[in-house]
Amino acid sequence: MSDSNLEINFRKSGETDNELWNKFKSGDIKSYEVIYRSNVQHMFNYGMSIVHNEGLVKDCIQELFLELWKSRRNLSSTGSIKYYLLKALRWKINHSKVRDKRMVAMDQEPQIFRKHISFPFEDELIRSQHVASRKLKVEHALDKLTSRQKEVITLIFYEGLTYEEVASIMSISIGSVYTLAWKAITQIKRLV
Amino acid sequence: MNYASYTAEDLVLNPEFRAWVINPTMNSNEFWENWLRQYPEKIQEVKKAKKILKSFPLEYNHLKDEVVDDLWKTIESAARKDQSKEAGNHTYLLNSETIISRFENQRYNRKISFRTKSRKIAAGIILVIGATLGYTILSLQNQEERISKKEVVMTTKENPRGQKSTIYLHDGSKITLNANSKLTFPEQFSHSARVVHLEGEAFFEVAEDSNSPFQVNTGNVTTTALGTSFNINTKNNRIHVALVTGKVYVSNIAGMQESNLLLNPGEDAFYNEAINVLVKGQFDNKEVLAWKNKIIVFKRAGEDYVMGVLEDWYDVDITTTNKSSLTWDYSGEFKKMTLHDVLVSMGFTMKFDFEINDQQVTITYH
Repeated sequence: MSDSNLEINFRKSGETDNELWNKFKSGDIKSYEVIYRSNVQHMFNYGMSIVHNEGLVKDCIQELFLELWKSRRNLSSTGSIKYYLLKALRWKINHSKVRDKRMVAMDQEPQIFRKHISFPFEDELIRSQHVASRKLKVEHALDKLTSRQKEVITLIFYEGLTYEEVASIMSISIGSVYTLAWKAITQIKRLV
Repeated sequence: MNYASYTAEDLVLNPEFRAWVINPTMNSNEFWENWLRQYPEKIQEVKKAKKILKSFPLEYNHLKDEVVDDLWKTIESAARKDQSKEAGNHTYLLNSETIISRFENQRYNRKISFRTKSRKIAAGIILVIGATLGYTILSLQNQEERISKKEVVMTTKENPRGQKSTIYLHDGSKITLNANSKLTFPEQFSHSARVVHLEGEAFFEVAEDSNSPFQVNTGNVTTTALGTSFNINTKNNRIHVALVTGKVYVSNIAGMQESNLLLNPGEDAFYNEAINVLVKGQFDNKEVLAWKNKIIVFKRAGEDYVMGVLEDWYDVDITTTNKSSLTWDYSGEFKKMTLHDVLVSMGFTMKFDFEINDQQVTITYH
């Protein structure tokens, strides 16, 4: 939701995902950059919901973009670049966890800042102490969500994907997506 | 959707409701006003749903602008390097789709034709002649099904780390199975196809039978041959098919469009599952088949690959305590050497010390 304006800045108006993708496939480095810049924050945010490890998520994004470039001619066409990239990133991260296990934990400098998404109506409300404390309580509750619940919530609420797309990315049924999300919302409901 | 049983959760999860709360329009105002008129008892649920949305606290993880730029610079320079390397290379034709799809259809037809035909006939006869003959035909069909069920009895050969084996199938094919690998095959092949399933790495020497293609399934990739020899490796999160003699075609069966590659001797196919793509190239016989000849060969290999091979070869677990300051791009060859000697030699080039405790190896970079 918060980054949809980002995309407009880079992309030529009216260009569809398909056109952009085809230009990239033919070796246009400008299109490659547009694809990177309009998706990197979404990918990072989603990646962090799967594994809370900035270094790993960044490495996976970098690897993914390089592999895309190297095999660009053989890529099939895609209707939604963002969906394709999120799905690819999920695979990468889940298959990098093994490699990550080999590495004994290392210190890393934090390179991100966190901000809360603010819905438009929120600004006036946030000033009230009441809302702020409730938010804090809910935040604690969300820490207790399972990683799959977090993943579903991120894809639905922050990446604005449809249930069908989420199901396909996570390789589960639409029913399971709904159930995961429903249970997460129930936990929040108890606190508001 | 059954609105009568709608709860606050369902409302929160309803994209139209979310859109209305976040960004109301004339249309959505009208819709939800009507909705509430119809379900006035839901007013509490609506209020609650709105409250949940307002206090939604999930964080949005952002990369700083500088980090986004730096990451792009790394990606771009690597891509440009790759582009200039490519310019000198031979590029391959990528699509042999028409030939292959024709072959694919044929195979498919052969498999199903008898059954559909017999069903159609069965239906016709039952209608005309009646139940008695119908019963005979149905029992015939059952018999056919029993036979095909019998074919499904599967055998699995699995090698632990540190151990290789050779498997002879009853059709005369010979399969060399690498360490930490698993081959599943039917006790009896069907007449129309010889299908096996592989996890890990194996070298196939397929007995020729032009009526019955030999098919190796590895996740999203299927390799089909008539009488050939080839190596398949599914370790390290990738699928690699290298053809030594004869001809095979390799198909990516994931997704809507199936893509296929026809390989000639000396050519290989790489499948990248993350981005779901199959790419053709050429391989070095010596490197790919080294494991069969009990030699470890690395050619410009990365850290993960090298460690993975050593773990399988010597049945050990390798951990590293810090990150290498050198980029792994390692080449080397080891024949009949102990793990200790391999690591001494490797550690000299890659600048690390190591410690072996039973099956546990710890590597520390200088």
